[in-house]
Amino acid sequence: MEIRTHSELGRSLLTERGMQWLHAHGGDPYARLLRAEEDDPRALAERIRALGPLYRSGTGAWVTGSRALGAEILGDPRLEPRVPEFGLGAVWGQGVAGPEPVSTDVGEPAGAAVLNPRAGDVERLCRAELGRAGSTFDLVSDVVRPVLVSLVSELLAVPPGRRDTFERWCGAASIALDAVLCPPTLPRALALNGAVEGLRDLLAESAGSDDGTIVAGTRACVVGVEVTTNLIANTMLALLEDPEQWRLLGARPGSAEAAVEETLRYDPPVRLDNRVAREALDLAGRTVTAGDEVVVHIGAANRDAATLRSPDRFDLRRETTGGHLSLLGGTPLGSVAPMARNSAAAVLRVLAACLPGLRRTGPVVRRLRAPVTRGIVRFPVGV
Amino acid sequence: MRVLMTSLAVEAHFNGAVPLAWALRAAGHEVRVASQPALTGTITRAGLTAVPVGTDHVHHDLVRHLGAELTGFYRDIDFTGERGDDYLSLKGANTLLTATFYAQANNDAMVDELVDYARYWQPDLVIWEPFTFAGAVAARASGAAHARLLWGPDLFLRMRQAFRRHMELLPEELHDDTLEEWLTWTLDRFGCDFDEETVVGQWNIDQMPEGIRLPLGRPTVPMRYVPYNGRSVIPDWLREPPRRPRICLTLGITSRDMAYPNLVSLDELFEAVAELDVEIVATLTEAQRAEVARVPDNTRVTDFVPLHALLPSCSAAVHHGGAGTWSTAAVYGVPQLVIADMWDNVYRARRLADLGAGLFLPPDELTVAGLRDGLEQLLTKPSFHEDAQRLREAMVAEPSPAGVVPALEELTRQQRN
Repeated sequence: MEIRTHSELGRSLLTERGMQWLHAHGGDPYARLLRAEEDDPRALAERIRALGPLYRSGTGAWVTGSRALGAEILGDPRLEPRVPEFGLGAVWGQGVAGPEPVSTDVGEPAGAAVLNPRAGDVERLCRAELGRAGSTFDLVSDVVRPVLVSLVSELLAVPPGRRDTFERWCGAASIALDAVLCPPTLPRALALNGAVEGLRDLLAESAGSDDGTIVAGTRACVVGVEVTTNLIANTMLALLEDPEQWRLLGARPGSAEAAVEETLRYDPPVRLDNRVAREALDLAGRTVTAGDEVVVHIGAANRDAATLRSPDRFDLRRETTGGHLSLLGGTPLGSVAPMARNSAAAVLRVLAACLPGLRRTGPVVRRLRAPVTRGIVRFPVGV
Repeated sequence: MRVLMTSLAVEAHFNGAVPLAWALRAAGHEVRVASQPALTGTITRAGLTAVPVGTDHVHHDLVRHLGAELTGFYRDIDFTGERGDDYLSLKGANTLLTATFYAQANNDAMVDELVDYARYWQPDLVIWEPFTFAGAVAARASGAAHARLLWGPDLFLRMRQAFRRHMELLPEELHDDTLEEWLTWTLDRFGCDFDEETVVGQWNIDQMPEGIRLPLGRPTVPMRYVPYNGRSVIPDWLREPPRRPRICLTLGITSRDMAYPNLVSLDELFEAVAELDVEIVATLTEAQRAEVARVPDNTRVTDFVPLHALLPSCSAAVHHGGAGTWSTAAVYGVPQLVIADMWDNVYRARRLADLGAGLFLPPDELTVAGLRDGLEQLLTKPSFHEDAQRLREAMVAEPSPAGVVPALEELTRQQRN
């Protein structure tokens, strides 16, 4: 359906959201994931794995929680990332969203500087934010997100006069990964659309007209900041639950990379990867028809007991994370992986060095309608 | 005054407004009734002036299309508010009812044209059926006063108050009120902000008597329920006094057009009554009748007979618990046996049983023997008749539609100043 007015867009989002509640009512575990309410995510992941390597959800999607099948799907060129709405096609490296598959290699910006920040810059910005924070603060909204937004803004040379707008747009864009699978409210959808457009225009002005740089910059703002924020928040959540491991990181700053890698496996910042079959194909003995939706539950696959011992335990001393499926190369997510890994490790090192007594002082609050990221928006801490 | 009344195009929801529309007109006010085009014939048959607005809504098609998945969800919603549902259930109901019912039944074309009409006609007062939020939007957009006309206990508001109470305990990031969201962008089309009055009206006109009416802290004008059952012609047979106790059996008018699954098997209903020494009058459509294997000898099947003409001659009524049927039986003091499992029907059935004026049988507990036994009790135990009379007295003690007109004039004046 062609959307002409805000009301029509709102109505279409509303209806789709209603259908998610309807499907979830019947107990379908993938529909429960999309509903993104109070269900225990680990229990849902287990139910999905228990339904076999590939199950067909009542929503029509094929879903796997198997690591082996997940790896096969994510590496299969016949299964393409879904072209997202809300003006995000360009961010995903696709010119115009449409029925024709477009290669994700177009304008592949993996080499761009903004997607490979230097650890020193991240550490400097993080120390500066911590200097401003008091004895109790919000880890996500007072430190982690501002550090990442400042980082990207510096690397993209956003003019000082546009910093506030830039920050607002990055905030509005934070729902992008979730909006692909879960309809946002109309105001948030409109804000997302506006932010993506605004960021592209701003980057075209300040970074020059190089398409690759614009795509890379927009990706860094729309996907990179969010993925990195969640990666750090998820790591800190696990570490602060287990003071021994938090102390271990303080004593051995070099284990920051291991902590990040373990989080990518244990509590990934992007939990669902959604593909569309370009042609009919067989998967795990089932016939998937062209146009079908195929979803890899990264969170479930990463804990697939077939490949790993005690998969439900967070352990930064693990020798292997068993080849997890988070942020694989060749996708828009893969292109933000270096930024996410390096910045997260740098922030963790600074936090562990500067705030050894850091503790969570209240429950975290997760964003609404966030089945893909389960993004943490409030993370109260004290030093 | 100019009074614009509006109801989504579902006949049973409109019928509850007709006597008040007549009363306002008879008092000299200008009265227009707006709905989707599908209801125009129904409005004009009631002797009222119709304003068709927009295009017909597709709620019925949606119910048909989604089938048991949707009706199953509706059935699991606790409209009675007595289960003490948690936030998740209340939020689910709010989300799904907005997506599949409120926003469907108040389609954009209907809302837009209703607002256009209200801006053109400049009503002093808009009276809206409680799910016809378009009426509140039109009032806001045209500056009119507006009131909700309730056809049953205000379970919607009780559920909404519980939902909002739960939601307001949560951090603001987690507030997610789909009804408010839809009304916000709908009002925004006309340059208006959302305001909870768009959901609850400036005041209620409540047709339930004390004991059934819910005290929810809203300004309320109580009004006596006066039955209007649609175009009515008295059949000859109705002049004959019944020789045996007469029982009315009906499943209401809404289930006739809607794709709701049959509440009960008609064969079982007939089997239960076949051996009773009574006279049954069953209102069934041809399609419903075609499902019946055998109509017992003591049963007269008719497509339609106005309940306000039939029920005064009845000793009991067996039905699905719909608002119009329930209220008509109540106002004539007829003991009722209600087989209900959905919407507000369950609450009315339970309250009826609590008050002793009838029996409530959930369909999944229904047996032929249980039904027969229930009917025998209604006919033989005097307490049912007495308590049904008490309910009737409570209903007729409220001011008639003509009697509430001055209060509506006064409230409108206050709101407009």
